[in-house]
Amino acid sequence: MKPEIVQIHRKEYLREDGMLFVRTDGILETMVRAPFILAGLIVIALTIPLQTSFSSTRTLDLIIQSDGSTHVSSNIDVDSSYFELSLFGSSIDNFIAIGKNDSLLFGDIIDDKAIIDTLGSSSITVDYDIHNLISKEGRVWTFSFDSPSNYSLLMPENSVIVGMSVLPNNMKQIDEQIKLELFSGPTQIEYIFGIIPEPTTNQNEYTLDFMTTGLIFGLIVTASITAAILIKKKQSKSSQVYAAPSSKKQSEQESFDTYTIFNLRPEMREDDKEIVKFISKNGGQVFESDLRKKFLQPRTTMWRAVKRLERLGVVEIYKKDLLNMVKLRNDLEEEN
Amino acid sequence: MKVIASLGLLILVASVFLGNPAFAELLDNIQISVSNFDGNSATVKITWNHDDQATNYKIGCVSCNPNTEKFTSSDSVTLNNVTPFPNSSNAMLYVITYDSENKIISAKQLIVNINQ
Repeated sequence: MKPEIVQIHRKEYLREDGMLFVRTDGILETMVRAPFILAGLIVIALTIPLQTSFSSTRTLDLIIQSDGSTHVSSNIDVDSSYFELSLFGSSIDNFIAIGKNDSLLFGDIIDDKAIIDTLGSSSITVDYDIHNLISKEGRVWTFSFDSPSNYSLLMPENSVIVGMSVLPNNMKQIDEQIKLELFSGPTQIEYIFGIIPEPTTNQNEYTLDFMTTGLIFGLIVTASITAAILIKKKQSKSSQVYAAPSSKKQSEQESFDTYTIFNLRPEMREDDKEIVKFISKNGGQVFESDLRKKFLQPRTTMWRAVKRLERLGVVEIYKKDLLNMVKLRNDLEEEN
Repeated sequence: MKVIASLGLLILVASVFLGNPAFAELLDNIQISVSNFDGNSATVKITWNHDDQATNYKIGCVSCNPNTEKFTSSDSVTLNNVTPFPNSSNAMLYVITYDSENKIISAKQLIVNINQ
């Protein structure tokens, strides 16, 4: 018996308008199974997050930096190899995850989530800086945070809290900073930067401080005035000591100069000696015009006198600003 | 001469500090007195040093629920019903100084033990 090959003619299934018909024998079965398949997929989708969300936050510490960022440090218990951590914002810097034995863990940040390979650690520590928690308007900074658990908040140095939406469980002052223990839930804290927080003091301490300061300043002023008076007295004495020989020496020098000149030139006329004395008193040189004014002599008379002194070698005449300058000579003895 | 000039300058500075309190640092000298503590709240009087630069002061209580605040142009203020933080006897207050253009000049945090 030979198998009979029957040629299928596709044209038989085509109508005149070219529509394709498909067998629909299993459509009913498929429609029945579809809800079960969909339900199965939903169960799987719900199970995956549950497997990675078995975690609890042990500690949560926030530190507000003076530049408006917030450092977040959290210790979390986890029980899966891949842990998905919800961050408190999407602007994250310096993310570090540390597992057991201080081993650095790999973390992949996607928006406000971090997928961390825990490497089997049951407890991890996460540190990062976030820029989403603080806003600023004018000089007022506002910290806004909706915490899933209780947490501590360390305020920046020299900050002054001017508003709190909720009261903290506890408050500590650590040096120049304030540390708040806050409950879970939304919190808003307004602060500005001012002067160092003032510890509790009483009136007596302030008065004592003011008096002490005043006393110190008083002593400084008294010492300064005394020192100034002493220094001034010392300087005046010194100037007297130094001035006296100077003036004496100067007068001696003057008298010696004229005295020497007159000794070396005994033939000098008396009226010429008066001219020499006047020149000597005026620093050793004068204009001829000044001599005329002093001695009320005509130009020619004075000129002759000056030339007479020049011939004696007592003075020298030179031009200065187109005027005749008469100067006592220093080398009188040598010429003699 | 230079020595005398330096000493004169020193004396001038010292006399300015001593003779004119207006040149003292803002909110440098704050005095606090607590009264009428009834186990829950108290009356707190705050006095500070006068400063010519400051024309207005804002004083507030952060530990009070709700937060309270007062404005004054004088050099002291009295806050009534000041309450401390829970589980504590410390109240958190603040003083802010404003200039004539209503800009903040300085601020100071005050932690006051009202159970005195």
